[in-house]
Amino acid sequence: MNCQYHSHSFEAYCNRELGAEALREYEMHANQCSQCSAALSQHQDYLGLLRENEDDSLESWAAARLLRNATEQARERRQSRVQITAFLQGVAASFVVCCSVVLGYVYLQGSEPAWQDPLLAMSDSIPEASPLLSDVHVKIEVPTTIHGAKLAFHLPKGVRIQGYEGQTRVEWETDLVKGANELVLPLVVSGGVKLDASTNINAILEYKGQYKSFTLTLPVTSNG
Amino acid sequence: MKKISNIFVRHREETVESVVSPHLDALYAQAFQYTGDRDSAQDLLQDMLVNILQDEGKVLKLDPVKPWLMRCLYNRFIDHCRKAGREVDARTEIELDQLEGSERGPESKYYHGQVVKSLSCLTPDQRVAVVLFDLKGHSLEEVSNVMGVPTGTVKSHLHRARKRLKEKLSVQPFRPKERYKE
Repeated sequence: MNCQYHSHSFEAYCNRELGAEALREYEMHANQCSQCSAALSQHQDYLGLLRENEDDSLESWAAARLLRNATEQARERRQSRVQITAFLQGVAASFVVCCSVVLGYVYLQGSEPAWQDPLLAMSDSIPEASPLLSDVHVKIEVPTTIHGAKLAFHLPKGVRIQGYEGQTRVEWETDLVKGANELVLPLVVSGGVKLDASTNINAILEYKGQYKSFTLTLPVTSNG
Repeated sequence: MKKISNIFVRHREETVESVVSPHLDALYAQAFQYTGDRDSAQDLLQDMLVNILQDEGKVLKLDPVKPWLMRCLYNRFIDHCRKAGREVDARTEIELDQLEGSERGPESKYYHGQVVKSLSCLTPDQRVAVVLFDLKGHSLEEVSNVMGVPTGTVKSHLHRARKRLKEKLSVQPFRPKERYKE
């Protein structure tokens, strides 16, 4: 027959969950119940044997050595972690700088698909001896309508824009519609100026802090 | 221990050591009960110290610090067991010489070896529960905090561990009470 006390109270007794009153009752019952008495006795033996298993103690010199070694290892690991973190931060920063430089170079060199190279249409032969008046057609294509863009032309020696003969640089603000925009520049070439393959007009289109530069190459004729 | 804690009073970097060193004895005793031999206990304790000393700020903020240290030791013990991939009955031979540092008679050493062998047959969680509750006398709540599990789980560990230990230890030739009479 299974003792009810044993079923309900023995585990609580082992786990020290019985209050003072309940503990006293259980111990009184155990004195009269063979099952509970045997269980209690076995548990006491078990605890006694367990507590016979004395702790080992650490000598003071061993404890000091343990602590010293642990401190040194912890310091080395911290330093190693700092070095690794600094290295990774340096790599990340270098990567960001390189990307910025590359992207900036690519943008300024005109490799962005949003900007297309201008189409240059030139008029025919240019006599060498006299001042030449010739219209230069410049086609500028933009992907979207922009207002307030600035156009600037840097003119080579001997080449000027009619009406702006005294200026080597002509700049003005303009609006550009989406698609192709044709600009006609009436150029005046001074007498005696020989045009060759290196005669270029440098132009810059600026819009909201972004710049697009392009070069207009003046054609070289075979006359004269 | 007092001499060690006095050494670490002066320097800022060694303040953490002065906080930890008073508990080294108790922590080592626990580690010894967990692992069953001196070398493993020292390894376990050193491993735990290396980890906690990397975060000095956290250690200095704790009050009290001992429950946290006990929790760290328990976690390191579980990690060690997992890495070692220990089976429950892995220990068959125990070198009695390495089991304790104090002098014992042959019979005492025998029992000590039997207890250690029996403890090593428990799972790590069962072993920790028995060491902390039955051996060291901590309360269920304290053991629950160290192990990071509910008290119900602690009781379950205790129940299974005791059953297994009592079966193993009950076959011993001499009862402790009889030895006490000697």
